Amino acid sequence: MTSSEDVLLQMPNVKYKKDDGTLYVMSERLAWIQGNRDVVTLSHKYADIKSQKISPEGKPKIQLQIVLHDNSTFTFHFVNPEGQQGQIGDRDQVKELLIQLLPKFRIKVNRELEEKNRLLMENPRLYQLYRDLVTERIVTADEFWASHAQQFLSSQKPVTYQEKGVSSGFLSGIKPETDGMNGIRYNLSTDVIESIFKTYPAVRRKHLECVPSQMTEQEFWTKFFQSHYFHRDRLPLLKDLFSDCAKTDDKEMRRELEKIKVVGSDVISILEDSERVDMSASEMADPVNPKDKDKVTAQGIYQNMIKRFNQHSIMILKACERNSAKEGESNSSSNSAQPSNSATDEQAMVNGSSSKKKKKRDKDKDNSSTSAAPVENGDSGASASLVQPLEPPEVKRAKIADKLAFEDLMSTETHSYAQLNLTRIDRYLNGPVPDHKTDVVSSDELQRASLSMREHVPRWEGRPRLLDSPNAVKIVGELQPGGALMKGSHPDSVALTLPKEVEQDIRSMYGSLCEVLRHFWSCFPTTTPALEEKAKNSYQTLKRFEQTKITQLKERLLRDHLDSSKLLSHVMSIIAAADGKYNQWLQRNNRR
Amino acid sequence: MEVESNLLIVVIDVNPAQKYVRSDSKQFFNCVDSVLTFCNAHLMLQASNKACVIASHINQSHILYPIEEREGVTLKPIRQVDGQYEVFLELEKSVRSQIKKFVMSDAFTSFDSTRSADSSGNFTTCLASALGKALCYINRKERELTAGEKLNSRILVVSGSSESTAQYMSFMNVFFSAQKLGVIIDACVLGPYATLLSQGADITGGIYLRPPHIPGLLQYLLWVFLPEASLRKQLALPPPVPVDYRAACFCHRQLIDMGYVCSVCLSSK
Repeated sequence: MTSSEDVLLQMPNVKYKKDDGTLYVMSERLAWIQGNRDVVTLSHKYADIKSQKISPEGKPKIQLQIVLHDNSTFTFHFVNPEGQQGQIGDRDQVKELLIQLLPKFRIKVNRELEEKNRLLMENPRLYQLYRDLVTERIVTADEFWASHAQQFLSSQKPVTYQEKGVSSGFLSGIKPETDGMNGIRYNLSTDVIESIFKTYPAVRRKHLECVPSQMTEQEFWTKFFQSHYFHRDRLPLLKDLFSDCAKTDDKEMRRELEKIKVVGSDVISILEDSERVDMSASEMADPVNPKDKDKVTAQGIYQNMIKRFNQHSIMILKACERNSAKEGESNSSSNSAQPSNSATDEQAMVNGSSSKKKKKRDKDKDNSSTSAAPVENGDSGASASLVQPLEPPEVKRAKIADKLAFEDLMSTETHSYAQLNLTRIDRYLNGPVPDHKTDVVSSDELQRASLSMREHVPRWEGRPRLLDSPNAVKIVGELQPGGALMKGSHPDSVALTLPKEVEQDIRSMYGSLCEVLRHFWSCFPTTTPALEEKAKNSYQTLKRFEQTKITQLKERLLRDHLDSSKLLSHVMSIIAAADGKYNQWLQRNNRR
Repeated sequence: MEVESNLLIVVIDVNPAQKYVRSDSKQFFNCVDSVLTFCNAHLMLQASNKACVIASHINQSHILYPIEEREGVTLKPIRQVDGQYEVFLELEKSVRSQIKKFVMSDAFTSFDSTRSADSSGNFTTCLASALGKALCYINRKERELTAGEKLNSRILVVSGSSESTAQYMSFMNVFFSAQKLGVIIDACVLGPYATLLSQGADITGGIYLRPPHIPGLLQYLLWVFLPEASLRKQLALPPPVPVDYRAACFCHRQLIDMGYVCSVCLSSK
């Protein structure tokens, strides 16, 4: 069985459950053979494998684990006698190969099936139809999906998944852990790295530039966390790798603001305004000693922070904009983003265990940087503001207010109410019921009636007989089903007495039948040969449906609920109509 | 444990202008007796059931039972006579005596046509105000409930009056309040077709019935109106009459299929 497949990699010295053996990476499956036997002990198709995991660096045992779709796991232990280096080498070889192979087998079919399954789960009616038509072998599954569920499938297709945004708290979510050695350890997952890249595009560029060539991934992130760029809200400034990132960010923001300016409002001047106030404040405090600037920037820090919030917002908006264009870019730019979603998952899985990078950072260094003299305030745009003609802030605010408020949306202060004058109020109060003039009683008549009532009062004693039997029988007749008062009461009383499940069955049968009939009728008039073919097919489907489902139901109804054949009369009539149409069509066809 | 009781309020039309009363005044008393028997049947169904009877006349309506408790007036406790359940006896006695008193009173026969007749000169019963009274009574009873008690209330109107359009607004107000309170209004109509009452029954989920044989009223009452609302679903009762909700033009009082409503005064044309 394995002979037909190519063995891509044969890896001896692999233990599985303490038994020595050889791991074979073949074109369609991963196999392991114990010792020198020629029986394949373990064999898993790649299609069955959900993911692979590897043991973290630094562990004495070099292992590789594969996880199947049913969540069972198999762990292989690499025991190359050349020592750990060799073992890691072996393992990586297998891993790399699997990374290439697995996505290929994360097959389309699987996806489609899942999609269909989901569709059926989400649409109870479709599911019912599927059960009626496919499981009863009235139509085949392919036919079903091709014709009956077309609109569902097609309507689903254009859905693209919205890209996940960046959680606002992701940076605080990276919990630094002290490792007890005066250092701090950051655990970064691919998600977090993605988020960092999204928030700081400059860092992404830097990462692209530096990482493969100048430093390792780990060094890069260590530098990042040490950098003032990351800490600039807290402490100012150290010249380092990321200092130019800050500048590019500022430029970027400025550019965005310029764009806004084109749109209309003068936000940038407000920004400059605040910057200038900041500047002048610090200059006033001590124009000579630049060191003092930092003291003043207690306020500056807040401003920086607000600036960063704004920048963050801009980045989010931009992320939305470039969503579509992003696919290709991210593909080439980061090592962890892969072209398709499934591949990314795969990679994330692989990276999952290895990407928990340890970041160490000296606290001392941190402290020393506080006292270090700052060089620039990050306000690279401050110089630009000087070029702008000076305007008092009030004027600017007024300008903005001008842009935001529209005269024609203001309320006009004049309220006028229409006075409702009713000439005859009773006409308004009197209802729309036409007066019954038929029963007008004059007051004389009324008087007479009341007097006769009064006369009767003394005779109103004891307990008269209120109901005699002839009357009672008559009234029973009236109130019985079919009686004078019960006309039209229960035309389908059988339907009301049916048990719930039978009702449900009839209902679902109706749904399916209507679907089948819809297809049948949609073929007419048969203008093309394809339609003729379809008409024949759907008629056969209809007949099959009638024979299986409806006859069954009919028999059951007859057996359990004697009088219920009436219930299906409509069903029979619509089928008969289809029959008639089909026969007529056949005859005409034969004549031609 | 939740104690559930049913309150039945019967509004009896005592207007002598009702056709069946005019033709034979004895019938009226028969109807009252039928209603009393019906109330007793209701009380008998469950010991916690309550009943209330309201009489409605041309320009007044009174609660006949239960008798109002005034301060200083101690009601004589009713003693059992020939083994009848005291509550039945009390209901019967008080309703009968009150109706007698009312019929004998001057107010009953004074028909001041300027005051009591409506615009078209009709002497119509002020059913809407009696219904309003009934709703107030229900509301009071609901407030008096202690925790764990539940009161299901419904109203039965027994009337043979032709209805007045003058009360249209009041009727509608009553019907919609009843609907909001969850009170069913049943209508047992002994006269011509009553549009408003049929609408009211339809709005509140009650039954509208016009018994063909008034002498057998008791049987209709027991058969159709005795079961409480939750039971009615299970019974084969007369089907609801299709209700004509068409609006009538305000100026000519003609029923119209499509109306235009004035946005200011909400009258339709």
